[in-house]
Amino acid sequence: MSRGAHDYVVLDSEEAHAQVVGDFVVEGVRRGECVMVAGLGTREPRLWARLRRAGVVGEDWQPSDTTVVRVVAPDPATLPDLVESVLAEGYAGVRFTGAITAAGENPFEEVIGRLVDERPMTVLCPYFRDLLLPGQRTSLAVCHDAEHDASAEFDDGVFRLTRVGQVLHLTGELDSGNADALRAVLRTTLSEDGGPATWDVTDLRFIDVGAADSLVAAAAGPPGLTLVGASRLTARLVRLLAERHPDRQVALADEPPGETPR
Amino acid sequence: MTAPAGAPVHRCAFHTGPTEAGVIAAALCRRAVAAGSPVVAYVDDVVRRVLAERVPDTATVVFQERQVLVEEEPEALVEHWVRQARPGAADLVTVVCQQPFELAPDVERWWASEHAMTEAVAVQPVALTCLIDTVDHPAQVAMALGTHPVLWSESGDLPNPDLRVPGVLPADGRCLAEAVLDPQTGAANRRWWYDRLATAGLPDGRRDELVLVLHEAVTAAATLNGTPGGVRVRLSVAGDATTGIAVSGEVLTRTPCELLTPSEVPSDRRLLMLWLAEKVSPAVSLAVLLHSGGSRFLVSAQPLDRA
Repeated sequence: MSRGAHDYVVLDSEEAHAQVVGDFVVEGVRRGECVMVAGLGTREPRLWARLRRAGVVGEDWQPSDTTVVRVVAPDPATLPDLVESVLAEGYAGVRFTGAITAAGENPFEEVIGRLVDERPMTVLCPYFRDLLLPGQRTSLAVCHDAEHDASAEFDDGVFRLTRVGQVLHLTGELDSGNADALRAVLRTTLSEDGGPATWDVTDLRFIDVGAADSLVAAAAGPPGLTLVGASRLTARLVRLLAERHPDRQVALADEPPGETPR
Repeated sequence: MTAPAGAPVHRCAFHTGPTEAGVIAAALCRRAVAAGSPVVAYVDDVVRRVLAERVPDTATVVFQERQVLVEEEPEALVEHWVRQARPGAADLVTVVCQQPFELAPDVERWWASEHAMTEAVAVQPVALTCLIDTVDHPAQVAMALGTHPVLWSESGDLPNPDLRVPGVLPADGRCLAEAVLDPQTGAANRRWWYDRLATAGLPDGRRDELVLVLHEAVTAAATLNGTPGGVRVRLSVAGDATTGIAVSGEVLTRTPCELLTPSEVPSDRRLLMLWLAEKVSPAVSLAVLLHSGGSRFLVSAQPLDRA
């Protein structure tokens, strides 16, 4: 997302929120910006875990008033002073996001509209589709620079599958009882052209043995499958299952092929 | 890990039928008698007859009733055996047992008793051999494999690759939660386990491993039950942040199933995913126990320094 933009996104699930907002926060930290989040509530632990998995904070990291990611009160009146305070600390810019969990107008929008014009501030307003009022989509388009694309190949609220270039991103939880999700992964993988498939599983929080076995058996045939960002447990599971299918090749990587390590 | 001569040992000797049991017992007794060491035997009449035929002098062998093995606690039995040693001598007391499974058919009881026996024997000059008849007591084979550190063979003791870390049985801790989980709602079930394991204070990584095995246990139990309906589960916890937290999750099935061992792929494919899940979860141990006409999957995680 370009610096200084004020975008919105319409989300269909909590998994979508975790992925889109997580990506926005991670990108900001990597750009040397201070990220302020508001209204996350019970979503906070999941976002902190996401930051740890992305490697932008340490294993024991917790937010505070001085950390690069900060929780701020859901009070629009306090936001201008907070932004000034952060910039005074020497940050290159400020990011702001969170979770909008009430239907109707978001009281932050007016304040943010002024701030992004005057300060180095980047904002992503995450709206949930089922909370939008009739006609609100139109007004969102008017008061934002652009709508952020949050479309997915599959998303049932538990498991979400997205594509970024040639890389499939598997997020959430995948078990062998979710036949629709397994079919979606295979359908999307097998439609690729020729080269090895690459799945980013950094944010795949759970995969059971049956699902992993099915995917390795079906998708790791020649020319092979590369898994990016597998947890230690997922890596052990996939290695064990790959041994059960000797003609299947699974490579484990920290980064997608061709990308510079972060 | 062949036990050196004179070292305490708790071994298991598998055999088929009482005559082979007698041959094994005789080999152990001859070695002890030749060393002048005392022998205590809890064996049936057939084995006793074979001993009389094959051991030159059974006068120093103390024969005892097998039911004592059920009546006495492991620690008391070991104390009794140690008293058979000659005063001032560095004797290793040889003990040969045919466990009277018919007197106490509860596998769980034997499971706990054998683990307690291993701990008691480890610090006393006792070489204990349990004779397990694979024909008469097939249901005890997995239990014996899971509980004896050493396996007897004609050429010497062998380390037992199927030895399990003892599970945290409910008696060792407090019940944290009980529920009937709907196997059709896997994500909600995993959340149930995660939340309670977090409440128990288990770190994230070990929580992930436990939840994987518990998830597979619930799935396997539902498949074994073969009918729609919930799966009964229970979570127990022992210890605290200072001493280390041990947890055990129990998943009950309404139908019995084979008793899993780490080194053998289960013949029942309905158990394969559960068996594989334990293989990738080094902090977790899995035991399958018989339970009230069905089976009980016991999924345990010990404190890291005990794992």
